[in-house]
Amino acid sequence: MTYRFTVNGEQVALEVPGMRRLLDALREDLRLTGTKEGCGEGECGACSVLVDEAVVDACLVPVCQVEGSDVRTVEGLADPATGALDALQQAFLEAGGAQCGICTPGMLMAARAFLADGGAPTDASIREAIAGNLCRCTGYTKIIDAIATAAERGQASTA
Amino acid sequence: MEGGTLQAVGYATIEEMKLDDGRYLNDRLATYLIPTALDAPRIHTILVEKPFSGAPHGAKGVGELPMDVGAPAVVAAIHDATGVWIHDLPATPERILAAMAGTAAAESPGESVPAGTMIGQAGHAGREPDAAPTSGTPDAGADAEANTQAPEGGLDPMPDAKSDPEPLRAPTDPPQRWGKDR
Repeated sequence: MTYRFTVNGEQVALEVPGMRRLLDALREDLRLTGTKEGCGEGECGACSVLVDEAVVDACLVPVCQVEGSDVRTVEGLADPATGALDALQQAFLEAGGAQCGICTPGMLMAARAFLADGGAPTDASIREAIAGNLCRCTGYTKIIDAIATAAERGQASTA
Repeated sequence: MEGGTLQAVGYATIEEMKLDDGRYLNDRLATYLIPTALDAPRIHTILVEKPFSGAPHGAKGVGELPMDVGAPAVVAAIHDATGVWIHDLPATPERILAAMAGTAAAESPGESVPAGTMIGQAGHAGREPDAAPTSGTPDAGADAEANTQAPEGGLDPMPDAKSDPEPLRAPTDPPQRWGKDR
């Protein structure tokens, strides 16, 4: 069966089994390898992507469930024309919020959903927002600082 | 360093590889829990740049050291708060409460490597609260007294053998499954 949905704004049609993991569809069929596989069982959040603006673990979502949906991955954050980084990516870069990089795409997508929701740049609310994303390198401190920076800049630019 | 420090805090508080007959019981992230952003404290890092004269460019190791200090710091903090020393990591709420009550913590399924097997700690007899030390400390009473009179603000370097109610494993030691000579 053919499944149609959009990935980062582009229409895609995949001829795959309906129970194929969205993660595999993204990484192998669409060659969007920015999304990482960590545990493969919905515990670590490394494969977090946005489906209709909600954060989901791509390892737990079958392709048949995203039929007609809007899927956003880390590849969609930077400006496709200029390559300019998204505010979150820039903040991660400046704060040192990425080390080994496996959690980073998922962290960025979880943070993107948090900011899109108008999340307040407080320590507690940011921790809550990324509680489903495990990181072993950073101890979270710099990731939280980066998200707070991006949130403050977002508030400043819309004010 | 911040990540290593958090790993050490996880090691001290929640992380434990459980074994059953040589097989891991928690061999995945669903069962082997590591700290999330909600578990993690905010870590303040102070870099002390003091080059080491014995290595090229004054280089020092940095990757391993954060792992070394976390557990002692956590255990010392627990002692500061409760008065009991925890000898088996992770220092779970169950183990802390058991130590405060002077009883053995109930073991969850599976078993860890018995405490002390790697550092030549005394066997069961030596860990009874009132048993005399087996070696090395001819005058345990004096030692214990010295410990109780530690300088103001200083931490006991070693737990007081008499007041420490920590027979965590002695009464209900899990069965040994891999030979009687241990």
